[in-house]
Amino acid sequence: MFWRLVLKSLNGNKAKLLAGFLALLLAALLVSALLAVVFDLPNSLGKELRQFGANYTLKAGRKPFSEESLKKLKKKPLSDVVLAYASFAEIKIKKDFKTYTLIGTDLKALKKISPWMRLSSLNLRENEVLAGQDVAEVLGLKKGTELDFTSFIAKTPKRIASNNCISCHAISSSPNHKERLGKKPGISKCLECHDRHEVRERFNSNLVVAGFISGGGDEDGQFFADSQTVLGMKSSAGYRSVSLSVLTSKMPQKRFVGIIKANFDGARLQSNKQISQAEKGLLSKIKLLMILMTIVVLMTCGLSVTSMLSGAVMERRTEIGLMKALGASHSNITLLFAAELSTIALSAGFLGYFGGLGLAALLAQAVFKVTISPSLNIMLLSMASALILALVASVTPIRSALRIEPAVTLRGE
Amino acid sequence: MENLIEINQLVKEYDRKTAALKGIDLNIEQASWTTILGPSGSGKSTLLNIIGCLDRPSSGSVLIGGIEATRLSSGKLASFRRDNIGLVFQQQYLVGYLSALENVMLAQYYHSVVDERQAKEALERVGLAHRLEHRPSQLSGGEQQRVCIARALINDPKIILADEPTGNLDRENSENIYMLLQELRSEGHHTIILVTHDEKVGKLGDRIIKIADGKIQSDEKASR
Repeated sequence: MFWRLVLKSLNGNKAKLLAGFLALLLAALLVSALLAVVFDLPNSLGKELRQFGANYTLKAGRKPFSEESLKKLKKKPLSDVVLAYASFAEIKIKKDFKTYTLIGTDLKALKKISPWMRLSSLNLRENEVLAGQDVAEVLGLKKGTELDFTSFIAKTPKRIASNNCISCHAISSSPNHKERLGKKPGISKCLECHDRHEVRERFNSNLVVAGFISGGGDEDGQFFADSQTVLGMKSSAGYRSVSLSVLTSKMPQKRFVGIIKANFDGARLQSNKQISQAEKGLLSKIKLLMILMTIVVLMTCGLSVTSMLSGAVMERRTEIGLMKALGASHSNITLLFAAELSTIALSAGFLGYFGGLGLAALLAQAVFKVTISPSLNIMLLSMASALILALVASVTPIRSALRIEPAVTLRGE
Repeated sequence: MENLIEINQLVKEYDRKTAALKGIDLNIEQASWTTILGPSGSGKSTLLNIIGCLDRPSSGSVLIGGIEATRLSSGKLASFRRDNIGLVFQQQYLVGYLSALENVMLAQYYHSVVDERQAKEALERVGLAHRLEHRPSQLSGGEQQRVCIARALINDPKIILADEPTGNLDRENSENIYMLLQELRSEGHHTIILVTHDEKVGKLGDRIIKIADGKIQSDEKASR
């Protein structure tokens, strides 16, 4: 009889309860939407924050990374969290007695992990380089400038017979000197300054400036070429480091570090603390904001439900008075209202979840350009929040229902 | 016959200036029909509400079957009411979203166990076998009041309290209701207390008590 009474009452009082249902539906909808966004925030915002650069650097141990070993980053489980990466090979090059770094990398991958960088070109030919903005200014480089780089060991060198002193930079091309040193590279005394004299072979690289690169960091003082160009040079030690754009929210850091260690023997993983701290701070602030908004929404809807229920109790006071006159106890009345409200709240929570999911999907698409997938947890949370809200909001109206005196309500005079 | 209800010095004051009952002394025998007569505002409904455990007096005592009803807690009073008293009001108070049958079953539900067959029998007894599934809005005033009587009887109460039960009904329906009450009276195990302002109705019972201004003016046997 109890559920028959509850269902008939819901059906009979649907007009009176409609406002409450709508308030709870709205609450559930907003809570679901906000929770869906909050739960998905680390992923969506994480992806968004990856626009600000790689958050990890993997440095090779004694053995450089090979192309083959780096393919592990594209396989599961690492592929789940590594959104993008760029590997770097580097060699030191000299121009006008100054040492510069020539980075060999996949420029498209570089652009992906550092989208803010400005690169004149993403497709370089074998003998082309991009010059950092600062270095280009210092050296007066223009597009098309042929560089007479001196690399310590180059691939297709134009041999220049000279050796230089590390201390005084004197170049010895004296035949005697060469004879004395022999043809093998090594260290001997400089004829000029009598200090260490490094015997190295020097070669012309014949590289051409194909464009420029700028990003406001170290890259402004470096040269960039395609990976294969640099890897082809004899002095190249292979990929020495890899910048990783990692979605940290998807995998605990310990597990990620463990997997990296297992796959890249001897490598060191360094996190970009500046970025990870900023990300952490931003995430917690946005989460807090969303949670506060959820609380405000719940409080507002709670007040609406209280007001609606108070109105419904007033309208149903004769019915309540009659039930009491028939012998209904306080617990009978409380249970009836609680059951009615719970049914409404759970239905509102269930329907509100789907509405909220739609709203969250719109929000996520509009703000983060990501999709939000359905979650059973959020559905349960939506239903639970509607239920708790309804029960808390019903305390005052139910108390006023219990105060109804049948003698007063059913007075016939 | 043994007294079922013993009322002593019953006073009901709403505030210092307004007293609905001013020291009522009254004994009501078991299985009798007592009619309380009085003009509007005389205190007859207040007296009925206190006997029906719907209201509490300001002072005085109400012994029902040897139990002091005024000293019972709210919960025990509700329990006492559902076990011993059947109420019929002037207005046909029914739960609008329940059918006639369910309205009767509601009283069973709050009393003990719901028995649909018994509820149907109660409605058949008041001549509503064909209206079981009708809602109050689909019933006439007389039919609604008959549902109320069936509901009042369903738990077989010792006392039936009827407050102007035909106040809103036409003559034909009123006569049907009184015939029904007379049938109950003839069964001999219900104590009926009926409040009315119609002197003719008083003649249907055993005793007429006239109340005015919160006091008993006369207490006499009904002359048939």
